[in-house]
Amino acid sequence: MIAIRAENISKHYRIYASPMERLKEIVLRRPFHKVFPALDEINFEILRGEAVGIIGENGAGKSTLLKILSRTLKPTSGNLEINGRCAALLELGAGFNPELNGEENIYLNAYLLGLTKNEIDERKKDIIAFSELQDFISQPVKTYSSGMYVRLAFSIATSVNPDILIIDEALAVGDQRFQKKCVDRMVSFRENGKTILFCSHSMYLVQTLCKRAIWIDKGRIKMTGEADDVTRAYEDWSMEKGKQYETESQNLLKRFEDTPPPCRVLSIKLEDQNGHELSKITRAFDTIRLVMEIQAIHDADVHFGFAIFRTDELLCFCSLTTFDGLPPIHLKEGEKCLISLALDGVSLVDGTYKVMGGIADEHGLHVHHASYSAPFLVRYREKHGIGVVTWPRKWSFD
Amino acid sequence: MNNAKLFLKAPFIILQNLVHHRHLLMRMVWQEIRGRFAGSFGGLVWHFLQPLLMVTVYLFVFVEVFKLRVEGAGAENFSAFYIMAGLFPWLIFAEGLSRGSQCLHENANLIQKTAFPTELLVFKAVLTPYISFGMIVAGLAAYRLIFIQFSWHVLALPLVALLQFLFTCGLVFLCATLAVYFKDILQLINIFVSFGMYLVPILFPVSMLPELAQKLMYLNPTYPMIYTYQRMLVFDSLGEPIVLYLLLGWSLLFFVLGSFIFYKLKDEFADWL
Repeated sequence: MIAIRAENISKHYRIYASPMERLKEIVLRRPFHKVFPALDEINFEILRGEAVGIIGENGAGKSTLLKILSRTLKPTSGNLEINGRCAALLELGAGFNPELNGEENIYLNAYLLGLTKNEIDERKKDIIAFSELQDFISQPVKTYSSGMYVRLAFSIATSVNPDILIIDEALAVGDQRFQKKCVDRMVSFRENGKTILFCSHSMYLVQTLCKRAIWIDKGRIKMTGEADDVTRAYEDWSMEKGKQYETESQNLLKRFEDTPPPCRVLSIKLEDQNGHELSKITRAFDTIRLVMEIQAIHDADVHFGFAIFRTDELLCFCSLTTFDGLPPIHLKEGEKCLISLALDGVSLVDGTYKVMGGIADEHGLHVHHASYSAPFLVRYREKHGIGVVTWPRKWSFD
Repeated sequence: MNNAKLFLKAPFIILQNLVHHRHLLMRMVWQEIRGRFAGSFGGLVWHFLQPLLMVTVYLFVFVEVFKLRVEGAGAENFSAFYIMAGLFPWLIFAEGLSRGSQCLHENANLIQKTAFPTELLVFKAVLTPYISFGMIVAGLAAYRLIFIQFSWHVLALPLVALLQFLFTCGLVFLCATLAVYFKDILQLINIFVSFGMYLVPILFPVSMLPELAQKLMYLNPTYPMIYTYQRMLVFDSLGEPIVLYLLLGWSLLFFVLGSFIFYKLKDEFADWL
């Protein structure tokens, strides 16, 4: 059974330099606009019960696609077939009337999703309970925080028992615990044979939640297939692109230039145990070395630290010389040196990471200067599970 | 669907949506009314103060100062009642028109970010004044029936109100659609709403107009509905049949035309707002 079929879906926006151009176009019957193709010839089919992730850079057309699928926008051309009731969580706070209280908004939203008054009366309690907004439900929604908005919106959208659930990035707001609750509910949705369309920048969520993924780039489908394969390809690609990413750390450096630190990090890289530079880790539990080159501008007593972040800014590991009980190190003016930290048995899972190296004051509290490495990939030849870390492991069956 | 087919179908599709979403619509209207009263101590008072002051001023100027005389059923001078019988239906229309024309802009967020049945916004704007000012019109009708003279004609009022509703919705569909593309329309509508009242015989009987103006009045689409209200409430008659036909004709024409234009373009609103 097909839940969603998109055939040659395109969305072209007309860009006018000014409102006058629009008037000129109507009067003179000649085009005065530029066409911007937000989506171009999108084709795919989603079967009932499938969970599909949509990935891509900001501005690639993901949100436009989801808006078309939820029938908020009309495609410029193409055919769309949707079988079943569809609930969409598109943008933060969309569809809420800020002046009304939470309960009234439940009614408005649920009516729109096609529920009758009796059905809403029945489910209202569940919706409020899931959103954990009992104490605020009679307050106007305009007083809610963005996390509370999402909680209410997610609760409503999932409580009406839609056949197709479309979620755009919304989960990014809200605390970790509620995110987990949402993911759990989505998993149970999937297990009940509902269709989920999910757009996220978190490759991890896409991999765990979705079987299939669609990668959209510049309004076109760049790749579609198994979620694992597509997210990997996307990560590889954005890493290639991310070589330009170093500009970001340049910016960071600039920030420090305002008040010149007593010492600075010149470069950070990753090496294997033989001292060769690495941009990709392919064997689990290898030894790697984090290396930073620093230069002292004045005499200073300092501590050093390294941290490893996943690209979604999750801190995976951080260690400072103070943590390990080492005394501060004295640097002389103008002195350059290499600081390295060897890590045995690397156990990061597949993904993209970056290393941060920093220099802190003699107490290890104030960071004098810090900088990022270029992103590096962890891509093992064999499967090493998902999550945050992996272990050397052995199954036994007694 | 080709245009001719759509032209015939659009009004029915729009009415079907109205029936389908009736509960949501009632809730929206109720919230709109409550929203206006909530949050201020005066609440209801503020809402009625402005029109009531306006009526008082009109009554003073036209009835006391200008000694307007309108002879109605069962009374010598009916001018005060006459003014109110035309003014409140006009206010229902005028508020529906000005609010309705803006409603798409005001709810751009809703239209662009959710799959909202846009016509409900128009229906809400047109219906809301029926509740607030409609109460006053109903009060006038009750007063007429109980204290002045019983009349069967008064009982046809809901029918006139329904035709007025179709007429207003049709006009608002047109104006709101135009306003999506040209926001300047909203300014024109504001001007029309404040001066349009003098283009209809509300503060004076039509018989006081010069003969030419009386004839031209038949071309004014808002004239038949106001005239019929006045006839029913004040004069105990339905008035000239031609005006009733005009009322029916204008209402259906505007509703069909407005629905067609609105329905044809409504999918584009999200892109243009």
